[in-house]
Amino acid sequence: MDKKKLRNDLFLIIPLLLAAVVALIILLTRKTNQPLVAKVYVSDAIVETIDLSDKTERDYTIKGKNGELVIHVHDGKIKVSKSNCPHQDCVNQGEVSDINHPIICAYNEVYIVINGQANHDAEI
Amino acid sequence: MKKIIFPLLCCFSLASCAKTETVFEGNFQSLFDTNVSVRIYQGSDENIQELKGILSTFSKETDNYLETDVPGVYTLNQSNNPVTVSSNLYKCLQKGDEISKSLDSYFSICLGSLSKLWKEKLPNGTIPTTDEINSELLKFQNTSITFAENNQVTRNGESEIDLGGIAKGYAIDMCANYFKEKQITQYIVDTTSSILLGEKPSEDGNYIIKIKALQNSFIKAKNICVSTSSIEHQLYVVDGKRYSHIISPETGQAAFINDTCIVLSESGTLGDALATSMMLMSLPEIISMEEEFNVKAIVIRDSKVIYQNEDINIFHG
Repeated sequence: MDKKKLRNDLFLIIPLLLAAVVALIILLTRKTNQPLVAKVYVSDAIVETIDLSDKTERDYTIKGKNGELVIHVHDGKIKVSKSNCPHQDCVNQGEVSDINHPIICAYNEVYIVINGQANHDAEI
Repeated sequence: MKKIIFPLLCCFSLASCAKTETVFEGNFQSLFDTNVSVRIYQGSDENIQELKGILSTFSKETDNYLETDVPGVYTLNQSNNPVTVSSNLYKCLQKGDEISKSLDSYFSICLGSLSKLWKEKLPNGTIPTTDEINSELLKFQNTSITFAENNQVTRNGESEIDLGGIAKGYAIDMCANYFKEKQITQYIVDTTSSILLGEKPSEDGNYIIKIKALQNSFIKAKNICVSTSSIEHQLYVVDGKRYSHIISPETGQAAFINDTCIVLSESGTLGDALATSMMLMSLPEIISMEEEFNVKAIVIRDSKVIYQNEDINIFHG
């Protein structure tokens, strides 16, 4: 009888233990596998967070301080495809896919920065 | 059964606690002519917004090119009349004046006019004449700042005040005081050339800082200010001679000896001023400064480390 009870307990315990171990591994490795995301700021506030690991081609329309911008995402890269700003620096910057190259549209106070890839916290 | 269930529950609790860190971030554009980013792992968004307000006001106060809605360096440079400034700017000017006196021939916050002269000429591929430099040097030598009660400051003389060499350093010191007051210990504030590091929520608490002047080189640090001065993006070549944005108070020349100087110190203000000063110093002078001010330095020339404090470990990734 005791043997049977122990076997039943093990049926319950082993899957629970496995689930706990799997959950622990996932949680501990979650940060290192953090997906590449682009954060879009307008006047210092985040208005859009774009997952760059999603390779789907798509456009986002962002309302900047002085007009609209169109952000185009394709194959893990991001660019400003249209902007009403006078200098068009943000459009001319082209596609960006790494954290060291933010896109800035000063006219519209739009700042696009990529997070999640760096092996360092800051550069000096 | 209880003996097994209890450890299991502990295991689940551990799993649910792991890596559930909260991060609050802010990216503030156009402060101190750069982008300032703040990341805290404790506190709330309210802290980010409060810091934004503090830094934004201080950035306006230290601007010596544009008139802003707050009295500051621009106001002081318009006349020799006393100006009542904020207590933050008052303390920053006092600290700057004190550092200028101790670093004498390497650093001054009253070099604004000479700095503007060089900034007007160099982008056009020219340099100021000897007469122009000497005239501004004379004005600089006859300029001083006096401090009175109730945050009243007076610029005496014709040379302008320029806090460019310490403003960001003082800003991160303000952030450090704010975090101390709010009991926040896990943070990083990056103003591009001055970085304030608290503890990172990682095993050893260290942040990893990439050294831009070197290839794949990093330092690890925590609970410290990291300041740098570099000719990167500020280098001009006129008639084959190299010039930078760093002005020698002794000669009035936009000169430099080293390409990049990185200083690790407890004070961002001092670290900033020393990083700038060390650009004009020989190695023995740098080592002497390290000892005098209890800081640690890295000196780079031609993409090579020519000096690093023995307590700093540069690792390659």
